[in-house]
Order: sequence, then structure tokens, then C-alpha cells
Amino acid sequence: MVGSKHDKKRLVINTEKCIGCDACTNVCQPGLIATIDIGSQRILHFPIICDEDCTRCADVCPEGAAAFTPAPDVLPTEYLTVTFDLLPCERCGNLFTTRRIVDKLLAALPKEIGADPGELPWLRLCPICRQALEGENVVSEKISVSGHLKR
Amino acid sequence: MSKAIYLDFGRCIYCRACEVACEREHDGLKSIFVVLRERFAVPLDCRHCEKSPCLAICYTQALTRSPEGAVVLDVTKCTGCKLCVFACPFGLISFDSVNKVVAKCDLCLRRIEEGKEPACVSTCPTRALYYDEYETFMERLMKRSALILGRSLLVRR
Amino acid sequence: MIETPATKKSLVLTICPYCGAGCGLYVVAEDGKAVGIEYMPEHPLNEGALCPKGNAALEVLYHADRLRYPMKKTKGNWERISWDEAIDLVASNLAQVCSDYGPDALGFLSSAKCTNEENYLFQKLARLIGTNNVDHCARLCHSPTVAILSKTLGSGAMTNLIPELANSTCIFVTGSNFAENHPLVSRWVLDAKERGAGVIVADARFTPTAWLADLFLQIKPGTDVALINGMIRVILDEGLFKRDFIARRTTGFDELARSLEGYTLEEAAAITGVPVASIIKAARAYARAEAGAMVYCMGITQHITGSDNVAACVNLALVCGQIGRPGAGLFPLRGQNNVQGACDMGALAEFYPGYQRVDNEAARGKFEEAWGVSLSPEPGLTVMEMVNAAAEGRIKAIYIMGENPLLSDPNAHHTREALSKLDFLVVQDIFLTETAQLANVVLPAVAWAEKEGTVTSTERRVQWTEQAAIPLEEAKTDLWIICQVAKRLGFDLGDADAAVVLTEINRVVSIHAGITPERVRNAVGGLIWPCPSPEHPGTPILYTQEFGTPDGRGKFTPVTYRPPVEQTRADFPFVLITGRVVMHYNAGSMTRRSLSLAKRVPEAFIEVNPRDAERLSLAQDEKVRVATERGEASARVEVTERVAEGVVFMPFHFPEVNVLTIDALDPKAKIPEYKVAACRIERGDD
Repeated sequence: MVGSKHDKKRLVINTEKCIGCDACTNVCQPGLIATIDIGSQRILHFPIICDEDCTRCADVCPEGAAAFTPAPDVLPTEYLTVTFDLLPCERCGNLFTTRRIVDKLLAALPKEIGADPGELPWLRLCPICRQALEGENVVSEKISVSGHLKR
Repeated sequence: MSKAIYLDFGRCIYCRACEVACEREHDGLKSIFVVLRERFAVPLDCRHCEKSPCLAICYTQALTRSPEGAVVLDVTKCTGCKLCVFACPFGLISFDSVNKVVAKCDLCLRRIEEGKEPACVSTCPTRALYYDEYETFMERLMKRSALILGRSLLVRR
Repeated sequence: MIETPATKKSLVLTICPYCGAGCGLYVVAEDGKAVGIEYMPEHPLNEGALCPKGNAALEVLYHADRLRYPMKKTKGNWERISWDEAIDLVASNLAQVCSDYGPDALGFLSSAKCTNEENYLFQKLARLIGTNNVDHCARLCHSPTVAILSKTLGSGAMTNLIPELANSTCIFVTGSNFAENHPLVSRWVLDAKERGAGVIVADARFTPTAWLADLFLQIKPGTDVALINGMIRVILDEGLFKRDFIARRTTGFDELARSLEGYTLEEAAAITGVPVASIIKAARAYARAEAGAMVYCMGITQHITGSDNVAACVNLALVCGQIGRPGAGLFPLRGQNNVQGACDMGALAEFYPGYQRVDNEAARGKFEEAWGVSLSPEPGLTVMEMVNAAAEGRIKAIYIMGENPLLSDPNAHHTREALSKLDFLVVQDIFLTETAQLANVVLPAVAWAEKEGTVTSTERRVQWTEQAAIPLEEAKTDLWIICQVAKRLGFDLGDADAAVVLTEINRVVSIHAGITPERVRNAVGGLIWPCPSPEHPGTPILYTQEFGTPDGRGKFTPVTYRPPVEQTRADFPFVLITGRVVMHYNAGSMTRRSLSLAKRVPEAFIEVNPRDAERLSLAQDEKVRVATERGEASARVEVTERVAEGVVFMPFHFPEVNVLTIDALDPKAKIPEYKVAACRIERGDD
């Protein structure tokens, strides 16, 4: 359950590292962090001070962008918002995730799966369009093999 | 070599029994998606890639490789960051917005342990999905291609 | 039933409650509740596979809308009553109408989804009371098949088993979208293709079934006779007809040939819209095939010329000798899980069980002796005739079991008016369907997994379906309810034991004589009728030696093309076809309540050709009003190449759609012309 009220601590977000994935939003049980997609942007809304007895948001951040420090006596503000551009899918135009997430994948994946960065054009497509594209690829290849993907 | 799910797309009739069966096996969340076009449909299922982007990008070991070779999800470790959703080249991982974790094909390992085939394979009315070794499946395709060349065909529309 | 020793769960063998394919599946039962589904790989037809509806079958079982207790309508509200009171009300009201107006003022609508035993007792009850006004929805789908196939071949049923389609070398599919409506048929047709078979599909729409076609003939709606006569023209001209077969095994060939003199392929092409070259190609392929199969369904039957259309199919099969051999036969695909059985059991206005006519003295005498009463010699009113009679006040009370005519009959406004005029309406069902809402008394019946008995698939395959779960609250088996009503009316129909009723059926229905409870319960894949004795193995292929007609020969029936009754005109410029989609089942009372299915197809839609959509400025997913002379409906636009210009399609699983259809009937089989109506489309904001 939610931790008992504790000594206040300060939540520090490194806005350069944050990619706007909303893992922190998912795991914050009292719901103090919010992620909202409005128009072409995603806005993450953090409380500066937290008196919960947990550090889940910092623990789950894939980029290590969240950390806790002792709370100062005088606070600059109560909330921090971080804004991200949402990326439109190159095929259908729907906004599907943040630019930073796609950039991260673009940087991390080729090495991991042994591909050249140019071999990942599907990264700029939303999942639905990726399905559609793969459906068409399977048919045009005329060989119906989907199994272990040799990459 | 271990078995995988193979797709005989010429037999897919877009009935989506595979989707409904997958949902039934997995608490209402499916991981097989049938893509429809005017003249054909293609069921797309997780390939459990040898070099798996989703496995590579997961930073909590929620995604791991099972002994059978499948890429499987441990929901207790999932943070719902959805990096794997966008890492999958085929868009086959989905987000469970109720439980705030992702959902992906687990090769129906529970059924396989009981000596059965994955639900999508068992249920497909037209045998468009096969669970088999790669060699066996390719043999089947070779045999059929020979037959198709040999038959007298009526002209396609 | 298979008990798994490790857990308390057992696997109970049931037959899928949806279409007429008759797939086997196991219901996993635990402590009297159905908790899951397991596939049945040993079943000869589906080999464990299940279409989406079969997979979702359990979603209706414990649905919140399930009827749990009997109810009566008091001052427009539903009031819960006891079974005692309910049976009393039903019996006394039926008896009252009978004594005031005579037994023919009663109507009985039986269920293509209830078991053979239930259908047998239901029609027996009606006839004991003194009327032959007992019918069911087969009238609306395959009545031409029953009528014409009995007359021309001997039996109104499919001639071969479905898996045998894999042995065909040419499959001619006309007016059937089995890929959506009998998905398991696709399995075997695809196997045939793998072995080199050619597939020809004739349909007004380019359906998923047409994806399988090597040759697709896009016919104008309602022009089937013109097409088939054109094919026969080719076969006669090129000498492709089977002389020997025709001479030995048929009658009427000369009349057929004479009737087609002067019929040209140019005329056929002009009427059907199919190029002459394609007609020739199709005819040659089917005629020359070593084993040619003809698959047909609603596209053939649901017309005012439905009987003629079926006759044309028979003519084509006989002229090519494509019948009575493995892979060669006629495959009318029956729709419901037990519509074949409901017909076999005589839930029909003109037939006793076993297709013996009520106006045939010998047949009547046999049943009078078996049942110990004298029986009415007049064929009764069929489904549509009952509705019209109700509208005209000639029928005063109707007992409906497991049917939803307000949804499934054409011209829904008329149906509603008619049923509302009745003095008394009792509906026995698992949900408070649209029809049930009009009733005076509603009786809660059990769902398929909560009862046992035999059901007969489209393959003539009689299978025992086991009880997997305890009935929900006060719901009772249809069998029990019929026996109780009968008892209150003074007729003893027994103790609602399905096996006992089956034993009576064995005695009075010769094609079922060998399908005893002991045999059928232990036969995986059931028994295929005719099975005339307990040692008989069943009959997979009909007419191998001779036909079932009095002279043992198949009959040719010359037919000429007649256009559909409702033609398009300026204010109704589109041809409206109604039909089915894979995700739903008939009136939708089960599938619209199944989340997995309903979420994929949640609402009525209308397929519009892209050129038509552009002309009318219709956008994909836009809501429009569709209107015919009979009424209006709202639907979502689906822009697709499936339909030709000038043609639109709507699935009838939603209440709105049969408001639009026309209740013009085929004069012989009394089936409505669901497949052709004239409509217009208006934008939502007009």
C-alpha cells in the first residue's frame, strides 16, 4: 500500500535524460505523477516534493532521469512539467510516441540486433502501420515463412 | 532446431478465430493480429526473433528468453514504459491500459507444456498457422509449389 | 466426458451451438459450471479447429441477460412467476384459443437450434392438438432445397461429407460465402486446391470465399438461373454432357434440352453481367472435372425464384453426372446447428418426421397409429404465412421456441404489427430477445451446454451433445418445458428424457432407425443418415447407385430466368443484398452479447462501392440512413470493392436491417427474397 507520510524529499528530474515514457506515471500508486497527451505534445507533470515512503518512480526510470534529494526549506516551485514533441507516424500521421523515445531506439537498437541504422525505417511508423506493412511484405515475398527472424 | 509458428498466408480467410482464441487464453488480451486487404488477409504473430529488439531494449529483465526459445514477459517486472512496444518491428506488442503493463505472445507455453499446440494454431479453421520445425514446414511448401505448377489452372480474375 | 484425474475438471463433448458445420468441442466443466473450452482434434470435420464464434461460445452461457425465471407481462411490465403459473398460463391460453377458434388458430414456431428430440416433441405437440401450423426458420433459408431436392433427387440434404471436398477436382461455389459463414468448409476446399483442384465462385459480391477462386463470376443479383442455363447451354453445345449417366439415371433430359433451344450465351451474359468467355470457362471446368462439387447457399435460395435456382443447380449437376461419387455431389450448406435436424424431425408445416407429407394418407396413417390420435390432413401455415395470418386475425396465438422472427423475418414493421395483434404470444428462449419483448409469457430455456440430446449438422451427421453445466437458476430444458405444457393440455409426451425420445424417433423415422442412443453417444463424429438399422454404418455419400425418387432416377426440371420482384428506380437506385458476416450469427441475440465478437463488428454497416461513395460524397465510417419502401435504418458506411457499382450489402444480424427487406415469397417454397431489394442512401445530415 501507499507508504506512510514520511520526511519530505525532493524529486529531481533531469529533463535532458527524460524521454517521456510514463513508466513513472504507471508505478506511482498515489497517482502524483501525470502524463497527458494534448495536441502534438506529451506533458509529464511531476510534484517537486513527495512525502511518500517509496522511490518507485526513480527505480523504474529507464534513463535514470529521476532522483531524490532532501527537501530544501524554500521551494522554487511546487510542480515541474516536462514537455515532449509527439512523433507523427510516417504512414498514417497519427501521433504515436515521443521523438525522444524513437531517437533512443534508433541509437540503441542497431547495435543490439546487429543492423545498420538505415535498416530500421519502421521505427518511424506507428505499431498499426508496422502491422500493415509487414502484412504486405509477407504477401509480396510469396514465401510464407515467419519464424525465427534472422537479423 | 525448435518449433515455431509458421504462417501459410494463402489459407487465411480473415475469420479471426486466432485473435479470439488468443484473447481467451490470455485474459482478453491478444497478441496475434490479422491484417486485412481487399483480396487477402495475413495473421501476424510474434516471431520470437533470434535477435530480438524487444528483448534488447527491456531494462528490467521483464522480457527473457525461455528454454524453448520464446521471448516471454514476466508482468511482475514490467514498468509499462512501452519501449518494447515501439521496438517491435511488426507492432505486435500491445499495452494493457488497465494493468499498465504490456502484453505479448508467450507461444502459449502453458499449452505446449501440456503437449498441445499454441491456441492460434489449434483453432485455425484453415490450417493457415502451423507449429512445427522449420525444415518440416519448408518441405510442405516445396511439395505444394510443385503441385501448383503442375495443375491446369483457370485464369485468375 | 473425459475426466482429468489431476484436477476436478472434466472435458465434456458438445457440438458447437452456432452454424450447421457441426464442429465438436470440449467444454471444460468444474463443479457443474462451464469454465473453459478445449479443442477436439479427433473430430472428423473440424479436427479441433474452431471459428471465432465457436471460440466465443461460452460468452453467452453466463451472460447477465440470461433469462433466469418465467415471467408474464402485466400492464406492460414484466412480473416474475412460478413455473407452475407459467405452464398454466401457456396451456390455458392455447386451450382457450383452440376451443374458441379451432386448432388452426394456433401457430407453433420451432427452433433450428434445439435438439432433434425437442423438435420432434414440439411438432408432435402441435399435431396432437390438431394443427399442422408448425414450422421454423428453415423456411427462410433452405426451404427451396428441401422442396426441390426431395422432388428431383430424393432427399433435401447435402449429398456428400464436407471433408470430401478435398477429393474434388473442381468446386463450383454459387451463392455461398462459406469462408465467413461455414469457415470449416474452407479447410477442405483449400486442401482440394492444394491437390490441384480449380475453384469457381459465382457471387454478386467479392467475398473472402471469392479470394479462393481461380475464376470469379460477379453476377448481377438474382440472375443465377440465367448463369446456370448459360453453363448448361455450353455443355450441350460442346457435347460435354454425360450421355451414359443421363440415360441410365435421369428423366426429363429432352425437355431440358428443348427448353434451352434458342437460349444464347449472349443473352446469358447480358442478364448476368458475366462475360461469355467466363461462362464457357466455368462450364467446361465443371463438366470436365473428374469429380465436380457444387456448393450453394443463400445466394441461390433466398429469392422469389429460389426453387427455380435450386432446380437449375440440380440440372447442372445431373447433366454433368457430378453426383453420387466421392468428391462429386451437391453441397447445400445448412445454417444452424440443428436446422437439418429440425427439418428431419418434421418441424415443418407440410412434413411429418422423415419427410413424409401430412397430406399423404399412408404417411398420416402411420403416425396416427404411432401416436394414437387422428391427425389433420391439411398442410399447415409456413413461417411467413403464419405472420400474415396473425396480421389478418386468422391466427390468435403463437408458441415460439428458440426463434426471433422480429429480427429474422423480412419486413420487420409488418412482423411487429402481426405479432402485436395476437391474443397470446409465448416465447421460450435464453434471452429476452426483440420478439420475446412482445410476448405475454416468457419461458427461460437452458443454453446448449446445459442440456443433452442429438443435433444434426449439414452433413446429415447426427451427433450427441452432452450436458456440461447445471442449468442457470430456474431455466429448464426445452424438452422439459414442452412435456410440461403437453401434460397440462392432456397429452403424455413422457418424462423429458432425451434418450427415450430418441428411441421413439428410431421407431418412426426410418432414416434414423439405426441412430440409437447407445450408438450415437459412443460414436466420435456421430452417425450419418440414412442409417436404417442398428448394424448400418451410416451413409456418407447419397445416390451412389440410385436416387431416392420413386423411380430411382434424378429429375431434370426446365426453368427460365425471372427477374427479382423489386427493381431499382429513381428514388430507390441501389440493389440491397442482405446476408451474414463471420463475427455474428443470424439474429445476433447470442453474438451481439458476446464481447469478443460484438466488439469487432459492433453495429450495422452498409458496403458501398468506392465509385458510388464518391458520387454520393460518402466517407468511410460515416453514418447514413438507408431506406426502402418498407422502412428506414441507420448504418455505418464501409467503402469497399466487394460490391459492384449500384449494389450495396448489409448484414442482417442487427435489428434495423430486416426492416428494409421485402417479404415477397417464392411461390413453391415460401421463402422471402432477402437477397434483393431496392434502396436509397441518405447522408445523416440531409
